[in-house]
Amino acid sequence: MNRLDCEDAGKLIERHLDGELGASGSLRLARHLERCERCRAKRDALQAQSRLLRAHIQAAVDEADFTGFEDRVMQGLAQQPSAPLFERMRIWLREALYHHRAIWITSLATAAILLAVLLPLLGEQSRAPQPEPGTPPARHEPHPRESVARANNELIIDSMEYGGQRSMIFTVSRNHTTVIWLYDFDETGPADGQGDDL
Amino acid sequence: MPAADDKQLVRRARRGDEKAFRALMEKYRRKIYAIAYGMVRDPEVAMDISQEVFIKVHRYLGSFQGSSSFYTWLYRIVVNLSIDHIRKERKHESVDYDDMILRREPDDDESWIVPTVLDSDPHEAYQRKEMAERIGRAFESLSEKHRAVLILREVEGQSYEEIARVLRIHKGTVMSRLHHARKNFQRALNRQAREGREARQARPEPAVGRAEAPGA
Repeated sequence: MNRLDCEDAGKLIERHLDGELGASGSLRLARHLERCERCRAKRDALQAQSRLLRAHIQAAVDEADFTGFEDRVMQGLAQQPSAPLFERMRIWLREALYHHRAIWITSLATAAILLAVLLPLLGEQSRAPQPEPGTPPARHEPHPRESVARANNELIIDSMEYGGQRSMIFTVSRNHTTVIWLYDFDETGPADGQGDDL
Repeated sequence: MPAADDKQLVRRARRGDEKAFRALMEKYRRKIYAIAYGMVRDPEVAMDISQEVFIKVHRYLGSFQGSSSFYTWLYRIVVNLSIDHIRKERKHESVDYDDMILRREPDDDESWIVPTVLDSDPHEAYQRKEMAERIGRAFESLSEKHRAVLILREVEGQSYEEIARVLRIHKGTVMSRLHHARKNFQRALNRQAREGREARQARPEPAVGRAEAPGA
């Protein structure tokens, strides 16, 4: 196990204090702290800072008077008209899109690929020569290339997930096309949404 | 946090059960107030914001999807309302240390020294009040984004993952923002400690000491 230097230890101290460091990282950090006074001082400073802030906020909460809090909220509700339907729909739609975005993305991607593959096929079929009325339907002898195309006219859809990323693989053996669709599926969302919620 | 209880209460509150909604308020009002107070640093405003949070929650309860935790939604609302208030009321530019600028600065270890003056004379009421004011001022000098991330971590004890969900940012951004917030807070505390020391040095000697002199 490599020894930590102070720079690396500094990065681990915060994660350790936040309970976000694994067992092996904590062990390496503990070994470093045993022999490094400067890093110990940094850890102690961070702990003291945490305690100060917690105590400061806690004291303010303890001083606050919550008597009648619920009643005041209920009064406020009675005074305010209910949210407009459009606004409620907007919030509902945004929440739905955000929380079920994996389903939306997968569905849209599948639909897009299916359209991209099926539309040209339908176009080819409509361009095929129609038999004259009254003539018996002739046995269709497929063109060698066409028969190959129809025999292997398969659409293979596969998906896999790895390390928070998802991929969808569409293989169309008809035209030897493989589409690999990679998309990030991070629970935390793509951007800082501060200030835009409600 | 028992999310199962919340789900049941939210379901009942959605159906118009006032008791359930009151139970949710009673459960979360202190936490919501703590976040609001930490953000705005004014008890009355914090109380108003806390009430507004629950009014909004009640109005939009039907839009709440239930796939995220209720408290995540609640915390997001209080953080956003507080930020809106700070932005509206801002009279002067807060010391918003840009993360990019900080990354270019050397990692001066001096800034991690605990300001001893903040720990001195903890039993004296005057000192305690002064200390609280200094901590408050140091915290107030942070940008609202830094305040939010620090409160959610240090006061609410949320994990990086939970904070990321509340603030709708990536987990990596939470870690980096926390680091810069702590560093700025430490610097601000050091500044406050230095100013406190200078103020004490400039203060005249206590009258008790001088009164003894004529009789001596």
